[in-house]
Amino acid sequence: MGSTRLRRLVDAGVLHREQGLLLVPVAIYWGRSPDKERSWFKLLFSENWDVAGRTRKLFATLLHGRNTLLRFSEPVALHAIVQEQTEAELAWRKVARILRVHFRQRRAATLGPDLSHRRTLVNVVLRDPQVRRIIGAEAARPGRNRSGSGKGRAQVRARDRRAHLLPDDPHRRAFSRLALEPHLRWHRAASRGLAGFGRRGKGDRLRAVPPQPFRLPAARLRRLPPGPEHSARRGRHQPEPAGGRLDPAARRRVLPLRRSFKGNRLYAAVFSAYLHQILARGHAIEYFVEGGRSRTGRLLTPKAGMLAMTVHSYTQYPRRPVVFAPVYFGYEKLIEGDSFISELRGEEKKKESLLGLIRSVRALRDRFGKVYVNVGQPIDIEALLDEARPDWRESVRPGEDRPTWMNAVVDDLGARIMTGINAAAAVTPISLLATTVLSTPKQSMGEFELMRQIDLSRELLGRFRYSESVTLPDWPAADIISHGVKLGVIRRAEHPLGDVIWMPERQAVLMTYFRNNVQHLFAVPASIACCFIQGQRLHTRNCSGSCG
Amino acid sequence: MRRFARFVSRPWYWLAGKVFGTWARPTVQPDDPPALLADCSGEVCYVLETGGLADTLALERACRQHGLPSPFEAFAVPQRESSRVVAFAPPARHAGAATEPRGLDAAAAAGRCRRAAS
Repeated sequence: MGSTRLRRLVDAGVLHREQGLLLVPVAIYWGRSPDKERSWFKLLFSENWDVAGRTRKLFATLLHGRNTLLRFSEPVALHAIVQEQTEAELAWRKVARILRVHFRQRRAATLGPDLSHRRTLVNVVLRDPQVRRIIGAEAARPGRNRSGSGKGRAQVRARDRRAHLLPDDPHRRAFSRLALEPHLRWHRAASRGLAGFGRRGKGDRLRAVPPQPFRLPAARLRRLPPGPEHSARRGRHQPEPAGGRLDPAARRRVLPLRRSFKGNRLYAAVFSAYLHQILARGHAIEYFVEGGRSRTGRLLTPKAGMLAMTVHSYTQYPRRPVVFAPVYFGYEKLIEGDSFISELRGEEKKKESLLGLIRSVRALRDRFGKVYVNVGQPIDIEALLDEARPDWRESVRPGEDRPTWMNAVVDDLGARIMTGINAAAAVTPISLLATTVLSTPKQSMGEFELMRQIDLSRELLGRFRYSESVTLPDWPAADIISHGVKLGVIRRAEHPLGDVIWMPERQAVLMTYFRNNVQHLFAVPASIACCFIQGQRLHTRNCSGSCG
Repeated sequence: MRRFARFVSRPWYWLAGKVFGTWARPTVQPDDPPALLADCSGEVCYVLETGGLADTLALERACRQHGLPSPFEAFAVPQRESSRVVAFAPPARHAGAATEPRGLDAAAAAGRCRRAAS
């Protein structure tokens, strides 16, 4: 590695030390400026780990001339790394090593890590000690033949099939392509709290943990450098009819996992080993804490499966710091509104199908308002482990089962993530409308009263700050109402004494979701208000006792 | 000969720079690159990862904008080339070509260095 010209330059620099040669590494990435990307064609020619030929570079220059990142780095002073008697050969090797490592790290920090071939990954997963042990145990069961023909061979085939269910060729460009999805009908998402994470990006691995898997806005997170390249989803592992998947892109970005691992140790081991490989290679992952949010919009107790696997993986090889980033998504309208209503009536959750996918295209014609993405305070897993179990580094051995003490840590982590999501809530205009209108007996209110109530709610939230990450809408109340009318959430009935704003019954059911999203922010002011229902005066001690 | 090459290449770079400048707008990080060189003294040489005309022109534009020495400026360190920009790993010119040193040559060079260091 290293060009002849650079070598000649280093030789000359060593020969003429008195000149003081400063090597300034400059990395240029075509199509990797921290900006939005709208064209699929452009993404084909965006920067990646492959060596670009001249034709590709020409296209990249033409297409990404205005989307290019040029990064200057700290200069490397030749006289600082080369001693008086150092030979030119040794100086060259030192310089080459420094530059090689520097450019590789810069590239990884900008583009994400180099992704390996799928086959290599599958082989590594199958060589995992835990996977091999379980395969051995399965083969040793009565009726199984470890090395011979028949069931033994069939089992190996099944194992390979299982491993090959893992997604293939996870390519950055494919993930980036998905970042275009929100532009279908959603307005630009408002993201807050991302700036702090950009600075953390060089060494730390981010695990973005939103509460609920709505696909489109989740892609917004992928713009964060280094963005989540993988998204773990349940129930998407089944091959679709006609041998392919409904969403070919989903195959490249999703870690498919079954709804339950019960009774299938081999599958659990293969998946765990695969996740470990993904984490050990330093990929950023986004996953949805299952059981995170109910159909009525309330946060639930998190299920610990993915969290436990992540923590266990980290404790086995704690080389890369892992940080969990709780992510709050604030919506204004639900794309799955109909299915939510039917599920609330007690109907079974419908499975995804080709017909359902075609039907859902119609839904994209509706207005969905804005999506608000807030990122909460990061949770450092190392600090959490140190706090819970100072000797965790000695008590966990690679390849061993998860220790029992880790369950408490995972539960604590889950609770912190959920608290972090709540603490980063985005109060949207629609959630303010929902909170106000749903508190009336008939979901209707005079326009003037509604405006006053919206202002009061906003003032309460502004004066009682649940956390610094909570965001409030700064629109005038009249604009909030007209926004709600535009989205079809509320309707206006004209009246000579003043318009009446009312909410249709179907919308009222759906709006409970948005009200419940932010209800925790009102808990303390509401509790204090409750104390004064009976009388105007109350002792501070009694008031704080009542509020818990 | 070298002067002749420089004489020929200058207008070419100038023209290419003009064409490139109408289209390309690279985002430069950090915001103030000269601050990186504030405490250093010596001859500045830019090392690009892979190099190429487009990269060099982008660098030249960024240097001009931020008051840094141009990659095409004269260079005080005596050597064959006169420009201040080199590529660390230029792409192979044709299929099968490779950057040097490689394979056994690289291993032998590493051994020699280790002996020299010890």
